[in-house]
Amino acid sequence: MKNRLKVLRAMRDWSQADLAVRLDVSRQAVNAIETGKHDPSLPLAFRIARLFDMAIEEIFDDQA
Amino acid sequence: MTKPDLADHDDGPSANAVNTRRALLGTLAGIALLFLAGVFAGFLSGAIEQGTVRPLDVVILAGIAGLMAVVAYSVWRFWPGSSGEPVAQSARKATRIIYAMCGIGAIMGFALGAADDTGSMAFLSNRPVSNVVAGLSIAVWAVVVPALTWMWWRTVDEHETAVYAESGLAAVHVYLIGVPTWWMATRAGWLPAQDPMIVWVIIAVLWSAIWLYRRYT
Repeated sequence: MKNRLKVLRAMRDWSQADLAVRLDVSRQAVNAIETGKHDPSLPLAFRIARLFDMAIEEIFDDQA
Repeated sequence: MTKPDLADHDDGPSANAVNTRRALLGTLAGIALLFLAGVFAGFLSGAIEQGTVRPLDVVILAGIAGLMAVVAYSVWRFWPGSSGEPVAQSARKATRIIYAMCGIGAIMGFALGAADDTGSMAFLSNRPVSNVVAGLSIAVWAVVVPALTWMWWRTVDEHETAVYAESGLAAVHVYLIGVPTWWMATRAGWLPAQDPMIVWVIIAVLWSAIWLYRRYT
C-alpha cells in the first residue's frame, strides 16, 4: 500500500529511527511500511495518524 | 520544508553497511568462539579421561577461556553501531532477549561438548548422555527457551511478528514436504536414514535465514 510516511517524517526532519521510537516499533518496521513491504495493522495505522495529526486515508492510499 | 533526500537522515554509515559489518563480525566471532569452545571441550575431556587434571591443564584451559572472553569482549566493544541511532524501548528489549537466547544456546552447546567424552560434535551426536546432562538440557530447552521466546514474541513489533510467522510457515512447508520425501528416498536406498537433529538444524537455519532476510531487506 502506498503511503506518505517518508514525506511526512522528512517534513519534520525525522529519521526512520526517530519515527520508530515515536511509534515504539523497530526502524526496520518503519522502513518496511515506507517501502510498502508491510501494511500496518489498524492500531498502528491509528498511532501513525495521531502522531501526524492526520486522518489515516490522508497518509495511506489503498487505491494505489 | 521537505528535504530533497528523504532517506534516513543519519550522517553515519547506511543501515545496509552497518548490517553487513555486524553480519561479518558476528560470523567471524561466532566461528572463533565455536572453535575455541571445541578446543576447550576437547582438552577438558582429554584431561578428565586421564584421570588427573594437572596444573598445566588448568593453565591451558584458563588461557583458552581467556581467549574466548577476549573475543566476546571485542565483539561487544567493536559491535558496529549506527551513529547513536535511537532505538524504541520495545526493540531494545527484544534485542536483549535475542542476545540472552544466543547466550543460552552457546552455553548449551559448550556444555554438551564438554559432556561428550569423544570430542565429537556432541550437539549432533546420538551417543548416550548422563541423566544430569539430559535433565539439564531438557529443562533449559523445554522451559527456559519457550519462556524467553514467548517474552520475545510479546515484545517485538508487528512487522517482526509478520516476517517471523511468514518464515516459519515456509519452514513448516519445507518440513512437511522434505521429511516424507527423504523418508521415501531412504526406503528406496537413495539416501541415508534421517537424523532428527540434522532435520532440526536444516529447518532452524532455513527459518532463521528467511526471517532475517525478510526483516533486513
